[in-house]
Amino acid sequence: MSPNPEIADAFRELSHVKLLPIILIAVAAWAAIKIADRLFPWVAERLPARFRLHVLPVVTIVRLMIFALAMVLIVPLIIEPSFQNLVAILAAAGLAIGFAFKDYMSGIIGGLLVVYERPYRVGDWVEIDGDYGEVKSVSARSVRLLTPDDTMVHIPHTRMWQSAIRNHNDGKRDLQCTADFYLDSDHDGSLMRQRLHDVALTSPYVNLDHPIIVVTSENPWGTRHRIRAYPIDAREQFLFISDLTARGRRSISEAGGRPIRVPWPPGSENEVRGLSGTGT
Amino acid sequence: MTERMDPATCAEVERNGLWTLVRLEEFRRPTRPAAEAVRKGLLGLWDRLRGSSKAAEEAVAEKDLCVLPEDLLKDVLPGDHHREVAAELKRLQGAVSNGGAAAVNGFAVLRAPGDGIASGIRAMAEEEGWSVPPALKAEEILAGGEAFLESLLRNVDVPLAIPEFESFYLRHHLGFGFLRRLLEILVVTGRRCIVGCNSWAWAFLSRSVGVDRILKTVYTLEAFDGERLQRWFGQAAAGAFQRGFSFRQADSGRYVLRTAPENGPGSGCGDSEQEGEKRDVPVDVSDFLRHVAAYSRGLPGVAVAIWRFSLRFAYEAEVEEKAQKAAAVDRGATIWVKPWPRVTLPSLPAGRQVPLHLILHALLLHGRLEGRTLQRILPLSGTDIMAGLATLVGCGVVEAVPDGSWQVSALGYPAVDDALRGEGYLAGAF
Repeated sequence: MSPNPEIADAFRELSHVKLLPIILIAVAAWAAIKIADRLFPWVAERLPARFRLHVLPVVTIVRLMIFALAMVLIVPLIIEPSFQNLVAILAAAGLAIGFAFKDYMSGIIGGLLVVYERPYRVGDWVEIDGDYGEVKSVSARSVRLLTPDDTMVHIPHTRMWQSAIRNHNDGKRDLQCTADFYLDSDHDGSLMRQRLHDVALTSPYVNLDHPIIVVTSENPWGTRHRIRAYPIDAREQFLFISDLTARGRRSISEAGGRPIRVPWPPGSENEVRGLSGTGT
Repeated sequence: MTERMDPATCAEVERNGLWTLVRLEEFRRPTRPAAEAVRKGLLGLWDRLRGSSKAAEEAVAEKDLCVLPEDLLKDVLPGDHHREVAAELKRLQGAVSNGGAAAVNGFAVLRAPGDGIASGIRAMAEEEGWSVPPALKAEEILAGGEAFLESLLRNVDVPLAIPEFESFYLRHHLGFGFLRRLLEILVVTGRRCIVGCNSWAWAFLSRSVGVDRILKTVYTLEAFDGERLQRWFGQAAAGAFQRGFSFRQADSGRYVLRTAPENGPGSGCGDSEQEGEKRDVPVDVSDFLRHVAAYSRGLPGVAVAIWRFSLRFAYEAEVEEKAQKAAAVDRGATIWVKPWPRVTLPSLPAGRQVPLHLILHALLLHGRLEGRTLQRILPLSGTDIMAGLATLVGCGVVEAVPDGSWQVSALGYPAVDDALRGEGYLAGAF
């Protein structure tokens, strides 16, 4: 297939293309993005914690701006910057990219939508298709999640089109945590709820700006008590849940409660989810 | 800039005295001068980003001026003021009526580090014949303190004074039962009482057991602004003034403190102006104490700790020439005061330090705690707690108490308050 003469005309002659400035702009843009990737999290860690989640999302916007600026600077160095040329190039590129890099472009468009719609931001705790973790960065094509077991998961933005995204704190420091206790029904429910309420109240991680709720439900196999409370900082959610669990068990034992030690009935509505105990 | 005490404030201070208790909602923290707020904000941000402490700068700054000898400090610093606080409490306890249904028949006074209110409550109780229950040990609180509570049910006609309310609970899952019963007894019996509680514990107990809905009337000491500090420190240093000491700023030589009105001219409180006019000399008092008042949140215990920290002694050659010239007119020796920008007060290590914050928050919520009790209430190992305490003592924000427990130092209180508020911990009223 012979090249479209309109498109060929749009490009500058190779001898007229200034390669050095293009390389310099590309390298500078790459370096600026890398610096932004490190600088903003570094600053966020040093500021008081209440500012952290305001600073971190700025990285995504800065990256996008640097990328756009680099494009604006590079494109005129490669093509003659006229309206017709731009239309011709974009049409041809769109067609080619549409076929060859469909998924990749879909990811990039998803990335642009992420900046606008903000289903997740850097610093958020999200769950996408069963992967739960803290958003560490949002690049043009994918989001990186750091899971509680220290595994970095790269999830393309294309998942945004088909999957539910569960954002547990949505740009705020507040994140609800739960701790479950399964007891034999032969106990004083009111006393146990008071005890568990005090367990949450006395956790040094608890955020008292939010209410502490103990939810109790009766089941054929026994009683479930669930503490719902918020930690001061979402990053302490696992320490918080561990503290609630350890001290809750002790308090229950002191109050005469007996934990159930039988296996779960399969398919029970109260079956523990894979994420039970994390933010809900 | 020449600082003079506002005549209206002077008149009010003269009329009411220094130790005035005001409703908590009337407490107004002294404002920081705008230029200082900007300077401190920028420096604070820079320090955070650098992630370094000021230890090195402090070491250099300390070389040029020496601390005052202890005997001179005794002459210069304010002494115990519990009598004045007791008098104010007596005045109030006659005036405050019952908080209404389901409320305790008494009032609470919020305390801050080193403010002497606990001693004042004890002094008032002794003078008036009120009962002062002893503080309980951690084990007794966790066990419910039944014997103690039963003793409270006897002699309910004798009013009760509790100077350190925060010592009646523990942030432990068994640590509220005793306090809940105590409040219930106070409501049921209608026994009159005065409760002193540190502001951090009060904030926590208000959220956790609703103490502010049961003890509805809450007072605190009126904030000490620059003028009040000028007067208070001036009165305290009367002995030093008589011995011929002057208080001047070490860089400019400007007066920081002048004699109190009853002790001589130039107090900076109205009469200083007249005196200046008489002598045709402008009264030039630096704004050092305004900075101290703002930084200390108007808390007298914190302000006096900063004042003590700032006083220095030096040979003439070690002081700037401008200051030496200004001090040439002094009739005796000069006590030099560090310029405010060079006063490097204790600070916490930069960055997020969760174990240190947990320890500090627990200490503030309980006033003071033993190491063993800290282990019981915090989800940290004994090693972490001891290492954390060692770090905090090294920073100057925590100090050991003679009874073997630990507490946040008055000098380090503003830094701890800033850090914990910044991290989102539940904080006290000031």
